Amino acid sequence: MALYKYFLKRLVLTIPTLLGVSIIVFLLVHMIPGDPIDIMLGDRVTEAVRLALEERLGLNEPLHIQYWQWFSSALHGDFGISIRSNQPVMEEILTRLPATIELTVVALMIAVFFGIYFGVSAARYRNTLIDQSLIGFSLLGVSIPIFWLGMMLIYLFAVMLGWLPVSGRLSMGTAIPTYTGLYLLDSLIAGQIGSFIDSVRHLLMPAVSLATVSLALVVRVTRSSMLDVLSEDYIRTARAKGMQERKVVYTHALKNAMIPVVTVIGLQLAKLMGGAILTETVFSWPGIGRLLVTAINVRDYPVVQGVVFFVAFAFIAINIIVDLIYAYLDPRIRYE
Amino acid sequence: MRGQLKYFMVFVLAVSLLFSVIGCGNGADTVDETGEEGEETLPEESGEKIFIIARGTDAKTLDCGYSYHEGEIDLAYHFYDGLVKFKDETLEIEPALALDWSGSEDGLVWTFNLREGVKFHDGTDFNAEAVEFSFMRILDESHPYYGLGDQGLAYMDWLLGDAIKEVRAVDDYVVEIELNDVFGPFMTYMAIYSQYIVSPTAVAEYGEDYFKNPVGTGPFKFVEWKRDEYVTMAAFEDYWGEKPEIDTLIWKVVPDESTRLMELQSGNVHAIKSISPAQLETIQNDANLKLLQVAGSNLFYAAINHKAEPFDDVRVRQAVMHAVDFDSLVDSVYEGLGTRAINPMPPTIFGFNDGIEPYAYDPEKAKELLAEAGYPDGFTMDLHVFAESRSYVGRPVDAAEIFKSDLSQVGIDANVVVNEWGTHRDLVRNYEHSIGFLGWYDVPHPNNFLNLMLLRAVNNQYENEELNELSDKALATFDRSEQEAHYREMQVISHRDVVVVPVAHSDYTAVVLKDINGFELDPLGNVIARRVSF
Repeated sequence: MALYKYFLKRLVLTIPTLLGVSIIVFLLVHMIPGDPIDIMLGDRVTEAVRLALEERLGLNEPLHIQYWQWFSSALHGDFGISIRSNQPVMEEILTRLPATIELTVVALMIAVFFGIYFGVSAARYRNTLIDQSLIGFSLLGVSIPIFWLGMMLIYLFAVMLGWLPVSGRLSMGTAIPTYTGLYLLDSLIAGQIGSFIDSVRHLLMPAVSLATVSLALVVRVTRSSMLDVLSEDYIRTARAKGMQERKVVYTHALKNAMIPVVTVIGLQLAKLMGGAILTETVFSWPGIGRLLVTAINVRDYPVVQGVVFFVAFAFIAINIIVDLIYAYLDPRIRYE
Repeated sequence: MRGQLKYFMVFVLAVSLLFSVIGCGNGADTVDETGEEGEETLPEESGEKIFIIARGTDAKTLDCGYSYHEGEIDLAYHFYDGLVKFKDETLEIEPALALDWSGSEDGLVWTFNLREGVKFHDGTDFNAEAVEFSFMRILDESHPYYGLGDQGLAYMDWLLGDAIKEVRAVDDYVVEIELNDVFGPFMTYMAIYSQYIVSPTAVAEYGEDYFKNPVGTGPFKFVEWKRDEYVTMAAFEDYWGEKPEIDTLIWKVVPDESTRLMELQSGNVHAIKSISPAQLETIQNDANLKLLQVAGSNLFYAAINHKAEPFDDVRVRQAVMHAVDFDSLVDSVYEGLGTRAINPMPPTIFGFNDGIEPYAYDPEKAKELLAEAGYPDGFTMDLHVFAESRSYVGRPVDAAEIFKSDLSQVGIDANVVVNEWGTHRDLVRNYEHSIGFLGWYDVPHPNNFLNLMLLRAVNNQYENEELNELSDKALATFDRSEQEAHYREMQVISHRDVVVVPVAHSDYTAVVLKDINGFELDPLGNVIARRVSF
């Protein structure tokens, strides 16, 4: 089957998936005890105010009607209005998305780059001190809670050593003109080198603590996959013909060892988004993870639905892309 | 193999070097580099005095008329002024935008003489029309700007909607407020943020967007609001009162409380709002930090259902008061950030009856009272509590567990029922409880507390004509001492009859760097940075 047909099929299959996700999310969100009006108005809500507000927010309708109203406008790209901020949900998500993208992409880059490098190194120096310490560290990395790690990093690098800022995306009182919303890019486009360094400094700790778990996993998967490949005949042949060891490892072995690694990386991207919720809270990072936490706390139904739907959509898209990368990495893979 | 090992080591070294270069570049270095760009100016360079406060929540709106949450109230007290205000650190009333005021003979019409020469941040003049506008846009349904920016609740309407008949500009600088009836707490309510004055020109100009473009007469004007990140204010150069010493005031949102404290310890922010008891020791041991702690004008209490047996018997209610060791309950739940409550209102506000002796912890006495009431072997009951931390109590469930354990010593077998707040509150409102924990806070007037807790039978099905009469009398006079006498009497009855079980008042807290002067925390829990200097 041609690749595009496979791609089309996958695309069509996303529709029922998204439909399912939307129903589950809708039900779950409405099942959390407590309603937005109580939380919004606290102790002083009177019955009259309450009814008026329920009607305004459409919360007085039966659940299936509420769902249908939400779903039909979601199809037109309208995810409703946030109860908390009165702003369109799509706008709320889009203004915070760049912050999350910047954080997760940098974290992923750290995880992939260091993860592969360390994994390959561990495989090459199998059973040496390097291998053992890398394995030890990756075990630690997988088990460490992001939240705790973030706190410890802040305490060490910001409070004790004073090298890095504690939280946020930029130093207070500074600003970067917005082109993409990605501060690393925007500061470069604007030619503000100082702001670029400032945003790197702010990004470092959240990205590292977010990357840790994924990095550790990538190390382990790369190592074991590399160990398999390195014992293949063609590697021995490459070595026998006198090829440089570095070339053998990085050109011959690594590409063939990448398939399981790519799978893990793809899955990690989704995991990073989940991790971003914790990281963004610890580091006051104004991304969609924090938007979601705040929205859940105040039962801002439209925002919770919007964010989860959005993330689910991104997750599905990433999966499709990962599948397509397989084909590139291993031309023997055919999609039936 | 050795060669490969070298590569690896070089790589690791290079990365750590890069990390330390970026890590060591502190703010000052950055400034030097960027100075050449000519475009951006970092604060340290310009000599601008910036004061940064970190807090847990952001605002929903910057319009004081529709402000309601902690995240908004702090800001309103900096953007806006009212006709009157609370005297520093007390809850007495003093002039602000009004120079003086007087009531008519019957107390129904109040005339305020306004300060002249006061400017709004947008350059327009503050005058009587602005006062009329600010009130009537919220209270008068036929006002062209009525409801604009409403987020669900207008606090002014809640507080004064029934009391105020009309607000009229009589002259450029004279305004009259006509009341429906004599209303004792009127002046106190006038000092609350929701009654502060907005610029009519700005409301007209921004319309729907006024909530993110606030314009008042306060010492700070609006600069920028980045949702969930920060609100920036600048000192208002034409402020009528004492001008701020700082140039810029930033309210940074840092949701995690540990991160908040570390922001302060590292000097990235100058002050933080609200700490948890667990952080108390760290703060006290840090010589660079100054803890601000004020007794809060709030109350954590247990509502009794007076129609549910056996709580219809006053002896049983008194037995509960003797059975619970409130002092140690408050110690373990609040850990130094709260005090035991004696009356159903906080001692921070006028009218508190300090002559009342709290019920002594005396399990034997409790058993006697239970036996007299016909329950020598005690009884079983449900003890309802909410799950979430609220401003008046951080750990409500722990409080309920201790309460339960004390009750068990006198034979009362209480079953703690924990619910999410909304469910819990509905349940107590529908009288499905025997004892249920609740709390109350803010407006510093006895009426705000006693009215709700003792009258109207709201959470307790308790009716007492004597109390109703006392309350009516207190409301029907502007005379402070007369009000006070009635409110004190109400507390005596409440204590004798055990209408509710007062438990504790939670302290409000803030922490500021040692070298900062003039940073205040008021008894309502608002942080005030109007007079900050360093």
